[in-house]
Amino acid sequence: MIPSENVIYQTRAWTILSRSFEQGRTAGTYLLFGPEGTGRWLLAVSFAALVNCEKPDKSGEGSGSTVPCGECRNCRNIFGLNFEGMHFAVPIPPHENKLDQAIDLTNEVLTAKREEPFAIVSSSASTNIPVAMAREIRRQLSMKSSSGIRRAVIFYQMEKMKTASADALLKMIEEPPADTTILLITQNPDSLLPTIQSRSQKIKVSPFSAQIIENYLLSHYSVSEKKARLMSRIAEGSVGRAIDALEGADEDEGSTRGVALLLFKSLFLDKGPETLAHMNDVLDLRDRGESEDLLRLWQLLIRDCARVSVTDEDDEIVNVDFGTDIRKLARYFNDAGLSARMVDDIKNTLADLRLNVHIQGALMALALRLKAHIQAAN
Amino acid sequence: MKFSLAKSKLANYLQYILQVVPSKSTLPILTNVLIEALENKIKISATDLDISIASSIECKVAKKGSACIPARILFDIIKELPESEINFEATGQRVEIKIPNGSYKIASVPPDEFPKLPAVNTKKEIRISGEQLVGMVKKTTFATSDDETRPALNGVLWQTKGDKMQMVATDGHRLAKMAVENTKLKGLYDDVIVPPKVLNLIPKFVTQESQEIGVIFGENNIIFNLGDIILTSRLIEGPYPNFEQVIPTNNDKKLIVTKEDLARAVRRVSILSNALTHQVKFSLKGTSLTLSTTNADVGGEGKEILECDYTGEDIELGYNANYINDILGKLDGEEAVFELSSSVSAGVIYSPETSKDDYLCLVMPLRLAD
Repeated sequence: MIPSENVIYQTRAWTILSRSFEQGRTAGTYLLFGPEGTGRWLLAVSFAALVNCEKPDKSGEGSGSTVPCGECRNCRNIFGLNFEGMHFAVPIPPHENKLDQAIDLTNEVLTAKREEPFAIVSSSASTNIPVAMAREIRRQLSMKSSSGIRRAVIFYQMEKMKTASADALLKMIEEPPADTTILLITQNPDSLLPTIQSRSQKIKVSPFSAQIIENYLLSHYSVSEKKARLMSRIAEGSVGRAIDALEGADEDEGSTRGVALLLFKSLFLDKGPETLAHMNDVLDLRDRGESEDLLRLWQLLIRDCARVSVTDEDDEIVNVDFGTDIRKLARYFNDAGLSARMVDDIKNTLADLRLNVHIQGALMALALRLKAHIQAAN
Repeated sequence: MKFSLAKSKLANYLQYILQVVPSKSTLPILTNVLIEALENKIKISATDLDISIASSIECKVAKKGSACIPARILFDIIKELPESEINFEATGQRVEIKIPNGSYKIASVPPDEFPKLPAVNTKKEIRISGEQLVGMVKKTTFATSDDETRPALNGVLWQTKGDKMQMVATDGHRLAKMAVENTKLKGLYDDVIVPPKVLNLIPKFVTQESQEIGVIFGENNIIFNLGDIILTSRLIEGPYPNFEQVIPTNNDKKLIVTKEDLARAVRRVSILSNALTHQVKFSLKGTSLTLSTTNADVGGEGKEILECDYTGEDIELGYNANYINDILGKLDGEEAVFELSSSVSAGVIYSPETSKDDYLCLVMPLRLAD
């Protein structure tokens, strides 16, 4: 993990953060919000490094923003997630709420983040930020900080904080102790308590361009240019999602993309309720992350089909490896309004999933609605 | 880094050091010890971020340097070795432990990943009596709170007051305050709140009554210089609540009772007390103190009558048996004095052999069960 990547990839968000540091107006609490896998974690870690860096680089790799040097002891330890002034609260699977267990599970997430800071971890609905860790962080922050260190507390996927954890931390988040910066990371800032939102400096983190994602994949993974281009186009601006797709793409039919295509085709080709049965068979319907990935891929497939139905040009297809299937399915999209209706329904279901609705029920209802739209249009 | 020393010497220090090494942490470096080979000695350090310990051990150093290695693995190897001279040598990313008939190699991590420990500035050190400090620690830390919603009460308030230094601990239900003569600290520092964890380690290192301990009060931490062992602890953020206002000064009822008799009776009757509240009823009438308990869960009752010296109106109070016994265990002498007011106000407990100003405890009564 090198600090300059922030400046290159999330210039706007980094400029806001670094400027607050340069002007000596570092906020107590920052709320970094945006899609998963777009570098919010890296921004938070880099900011923790900047406020503790022994030799901040004011030239900022030519960006004009100050960046941490990445070489001093504090920078190296912070980027290695091994710094005495850093605390982490991340969503973890259910456990007995004992601190030792919570630490073990948290370490699994941190290990994944050390290896790949853009990795999307713990997207399952059953994970949450545990009370035991929240209390431990509160205890740590009730102690005076070590001299010369600005403490940084990173809350990853803040929307997954249990009410009891939020209660334990509310006062601390609203009024952080001296020499402490709290960095809240979330997809959906509106899901946080109004008091937390109002006390935080909100910074929007936007999706990346496909070119940035492609460059990242080529420079960090052994992947062909063709595959990197494909993954960057289907990732919807998320490096994390592109990496997930890259790992899934190695598994052919068993991959998330392969499954998504099969289920998508079933919406059109199976006249009965077979799609629902297939969904039950091939998806872990308790896993919100997997369900969200499926729906995002469906959105892209609908977009591809709609494009091909109008232009009939392969250049416009995002999922070029599914070109044959897309051309076959494009004939169902002669009704110009069909794609809009299908995409709207998928967006609504994605929003519902973020509100922790029953996943299986939401997906089944969506599949029935999409089939109804397809049958009405054809 | 290259040095050698006797197994028993190292094992002895490592067992102390291991007490602050966390078994689990989100910071991997904390499960390691930092070994620094200096001029004719090595320094071994460990920290859990709250407390740090650094031991200096005299030994033969062939080459200066430092290394960071897993604490528990090191300790497990050393404790199992037979008594002999052990040679340590850092080679690349590993530390080799050589014994006469073999060797062990442990992967090390860069020493600069280890948290920076506060520097020990002996010019700011104040030497105080180890006996005094240990006495204060033993008589106050038991009353600290473990309720993390009130962090200041998780520590012991250490302050100077006139020619005395005093420690105070309270969990909101009971309080212990001890003061001793000490002019060395007069006007030198503000009140500090010290975690009991570090204070409770000190008695383990004070082996002689005459031993003096160096204390350095920092803005954010406190350092105890125990000779070849340095203990450091971060301080707890204040403010500490105004405890003076809860100590009653005009309780009009006075009970004097034999401490050991009361402690034993409380232990016995509390067997049949409520499992949650541990409530024991104190009924004071004339020269008798009646202790009684009831436990509806097991359908049991306990009652004992003790002779006592009591002045004041008849009164009934409920106390947590554990709190009473904790306090009785800390009082000097054979008798305990209770100064009471009513069944809902704080009682003051002290020993007639010491002044109330030097050591007193306070306990809040429980609402009497019907």
